[in-house]
Amino acid sequence: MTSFYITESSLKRLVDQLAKEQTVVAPVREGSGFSFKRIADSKGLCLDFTNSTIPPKSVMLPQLEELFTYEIKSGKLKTEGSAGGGTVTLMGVRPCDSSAFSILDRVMGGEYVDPYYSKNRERTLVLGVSCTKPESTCFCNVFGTGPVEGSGDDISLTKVDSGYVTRPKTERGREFIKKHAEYFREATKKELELFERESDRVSKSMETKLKSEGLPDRMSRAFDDPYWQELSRRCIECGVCSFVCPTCYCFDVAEEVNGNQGKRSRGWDTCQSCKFSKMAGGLDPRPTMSDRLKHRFYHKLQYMPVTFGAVSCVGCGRCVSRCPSNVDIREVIAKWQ
Amino acid sequence: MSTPQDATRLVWNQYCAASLPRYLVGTKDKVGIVTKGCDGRAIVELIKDRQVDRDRIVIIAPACLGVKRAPRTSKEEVLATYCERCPNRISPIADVSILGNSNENDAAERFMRDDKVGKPSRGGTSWTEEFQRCTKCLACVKSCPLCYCTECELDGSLSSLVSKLRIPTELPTFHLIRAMHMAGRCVGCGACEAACPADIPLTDLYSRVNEEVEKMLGYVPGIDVNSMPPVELPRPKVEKK
Repeated sequence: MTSFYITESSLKRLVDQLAKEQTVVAPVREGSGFSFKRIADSKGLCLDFTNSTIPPKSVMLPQLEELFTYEIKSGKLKTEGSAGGGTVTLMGVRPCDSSAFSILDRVMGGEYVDPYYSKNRERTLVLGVSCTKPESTCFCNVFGTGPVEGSGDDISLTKVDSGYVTRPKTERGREFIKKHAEYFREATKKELELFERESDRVSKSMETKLKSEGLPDRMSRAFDDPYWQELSRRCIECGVCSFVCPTCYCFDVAEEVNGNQGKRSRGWDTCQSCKFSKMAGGLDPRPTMSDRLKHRFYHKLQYMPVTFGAVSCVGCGRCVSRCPSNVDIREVIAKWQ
Repeated sequence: MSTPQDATRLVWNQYCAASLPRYLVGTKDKVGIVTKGCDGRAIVELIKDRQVDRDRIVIIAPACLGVKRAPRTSKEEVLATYCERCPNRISPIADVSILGNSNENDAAERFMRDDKVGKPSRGGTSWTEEFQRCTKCLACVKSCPLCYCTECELDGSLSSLVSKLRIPTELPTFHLIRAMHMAGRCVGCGACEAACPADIPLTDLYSRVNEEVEKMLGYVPGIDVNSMPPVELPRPKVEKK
């Protein structure tokens, strides 16, 4: 595999050109933090960023997505799917968030294909950027989802000197580099050495010493443990954890009817809400907070590895830092590791 | 905590931001609770609303120093705006009071005198802009000690003006309805702001509606267990203190 190199100024010029031709979504500064926004040129782009509050999964699974509109005209039903939209380049995705895409792919693009997610995934090129400074809440090293080169990248960039070592990971990534060859050059031996050294340094800077092996197995025997009851006493059911989670994908569907026409949309929902699992007739398989909190951790750490072959936590630390009542998934992993 | 050993883990500092009265509603056991001034005010309101039985709780009330947090626009931690506004950092209701050095409350008066009408105080330029960031996750509702309804009317995705599936909110319906529901009830503990993933300065809004309630009806929530909320019972106007 050939590795390339792009200088910071070339990258800026590339972004400027791309933004003219198509949608470019990238991390920009917002308040004291960052968020993923559509950019018009390279001015707002900031690749030296810490994790955004809302993960870039919103590009693949928008918080609100119109599925189709319909109209009944002279007795006939006419439906129209939402416009697909053009090509998107999603820049500056951290390895944790990028790896989240490959986990979502297993669920939304596996045996049962979610057409809306797949359409967004197909039209989006993911340009990942390796981490340089993990935060105290980061633990991607536990699941191998970071801190260097995420598994959902089409192209991975890693900061070396005043540019980036660029490694295409998919056919689409290789095509992209070929198409924009004037911005890239082949990486030198020294740059590749520096890349190895940098990868090593960042990996070693991660503080967490948790282990994930055997977690599903041990958790499968812990379903009735009083630990869950105890843990859930803290939880206030706000659901922020799932709103900021890059791998949470549950949604709710609603229809807006207006006379003879209407539209169907879907939007993020959370399993932590008391209404989420309530069925017609009033039956609720997860009636208590302890059931719901336990479900979230089991879904991520037990059901997903068993059903889809991957833990669905990427260690981005968002739920850890945003939880108003200090529920910490690292504590749960430490308990059952 | 449920054993005496657990007490060694107790912490009391300016990062104790969680609203503990939130956990009182629905508990059947006798509970001891450590309260900040605002938590005490929330308990007062919960007692009036018959959500908490005074005889079942033991209130330990240390003097609060206010909560520190980083505003949306900077990484530097400062005293939270809702703590600047706090009318009293000591709980109005207590079984055990631990009076240390609570900060003086000039800040609250200063805030009231400032003309902040119609504008969020912190960084934002307009409420419309603040509400644009809302993700309708309802963390504000869920974290509020006084939102004890088992099912929130605002929590729904069916077609309505407050539907979860209207993002960004084209009308600030959700926030205005919630603000009206907080009128004469919000005790300014800031639990909603601490939980909000979009960092919307919600207590700026609720303190404004509270000001109006005080002006019109002379009612301040959380001060006195015996003064009944003006909108709940057909009682004569409560005399302003």
